[in-house]
Amino acid sequence: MKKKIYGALGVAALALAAFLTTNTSSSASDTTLFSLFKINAANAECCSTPINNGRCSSLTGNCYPDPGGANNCDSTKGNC
Amino acid sequence: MSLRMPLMLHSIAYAIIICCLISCNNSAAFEVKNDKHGSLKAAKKLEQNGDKKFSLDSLSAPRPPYIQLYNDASGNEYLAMLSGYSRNIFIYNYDSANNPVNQIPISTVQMPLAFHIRNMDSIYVYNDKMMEMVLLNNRSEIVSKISLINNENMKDLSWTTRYPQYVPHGVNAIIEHEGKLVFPGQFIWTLPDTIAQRFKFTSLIDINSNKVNYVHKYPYGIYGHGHLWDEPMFTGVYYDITPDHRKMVYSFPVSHDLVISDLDTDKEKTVYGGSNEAASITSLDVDKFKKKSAAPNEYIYQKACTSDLYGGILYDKYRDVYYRFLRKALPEKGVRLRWENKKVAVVVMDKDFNYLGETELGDLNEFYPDNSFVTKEGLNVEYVAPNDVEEKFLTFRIFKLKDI
Repeated sequence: MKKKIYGALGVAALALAAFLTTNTSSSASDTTLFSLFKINAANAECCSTPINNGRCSSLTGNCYPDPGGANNCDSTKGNC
Repeated sequence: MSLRMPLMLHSIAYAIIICCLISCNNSAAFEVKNDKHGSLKAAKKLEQNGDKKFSLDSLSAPRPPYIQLYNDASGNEYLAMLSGYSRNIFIYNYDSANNPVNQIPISTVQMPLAFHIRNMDSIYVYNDKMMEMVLLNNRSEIVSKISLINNENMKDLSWTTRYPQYVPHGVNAIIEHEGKLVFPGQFIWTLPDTIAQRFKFTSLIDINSNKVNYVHKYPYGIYGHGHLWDEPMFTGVYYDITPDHRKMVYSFPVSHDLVISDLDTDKEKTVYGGSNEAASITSLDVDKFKKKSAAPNEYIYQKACTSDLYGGILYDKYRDVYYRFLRKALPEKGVRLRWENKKVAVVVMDKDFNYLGETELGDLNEFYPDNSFVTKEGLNVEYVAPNDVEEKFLTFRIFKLKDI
């Protein structure tokens, strides 16, 4: 009897885990980044050059200077 | 001994459970609470009152980078629009709308992002490439250039900790105050605590001497202490001037409050200016990206989508009220997290910032509240029909204040 209960609980736990995992991944895949929306393309857009001294805004897709930060784009406006 | 072992095991187990509970609840994020959430009573609402359409040329598109509503010496009202691709400022008569009545070529300015027309012989254009304000005459010739970073070397990025940067929006008009242009900027990323109490984000540009002075600081309780707001959307500054033309009203995206800052002294005060429906706003949580040097873009985007974020603030001189935009949070689960699916609401306050009500206009697919202004007809908010592929018009939907 105990084995049956433990077995049922195990199956329920696995199902719950699978459900949660599926939910999480679907919400993450729904997230859309730069390619999907740019609020204002008038600033220096994000592009990578040997200068790379800025960071790309997740929302605007524009590059802004970021001294000492994790740089991934060139903020020197108009060089690319 | 045999009795003590189970006791010790129990104690260890309890300790582990308590630690787990504490670590689960102890987020590193900072929470900005909305103290009046659900307790405010509405007496006014906004109702749609028609559209105003201005024709666009083939090189111009809706959601232009900058607009300005201004009056000439005879009192005629004009809407000016920056067309980034054709490098022109188009001028429309607001009342008759339709085709532009004039255009100002600004090809001499490398990266124009904002402008202020004093008159047709005195046009200030902000050049983002050189971080300068350029003065043009009526032949679009450059009369003078005013550096907004004190002519510092742009390649040495240390200037970014001393001077604001600019992310202009049409709802943030450049203001004239006693011979000065008031041009607020912002700190772009998380404000380091070492400079949070001295960094000033508003430039005051003296029209006669071309000297630039900097005033007004971020509210330290929210943006200080190294709280992570690592995205220009969170550190943005929206503003208008009070009707007596002496104080600035600042609307920060992550604050339910407004900061009223005197233009001529250091005085400032904070007033409540929030939405009845906005929830707490939390900063980025460093625990969510411990192993990385910066917040992942996907996490920042999700945070912006699922947070209530305030926007522009406008004083309506015809009705003596303030309008404050809110980009409402999307639920964390059950909907697609796209920025443009966020609903746009407008909170209305009286001249003393007492709550009068709020109205949801639509979503960011169709409304662009960063291009908004007030006329005698009502609150004008840029409207882009979701199925508009021809892009022939710049359209403003007008909303009028009504009693409930």
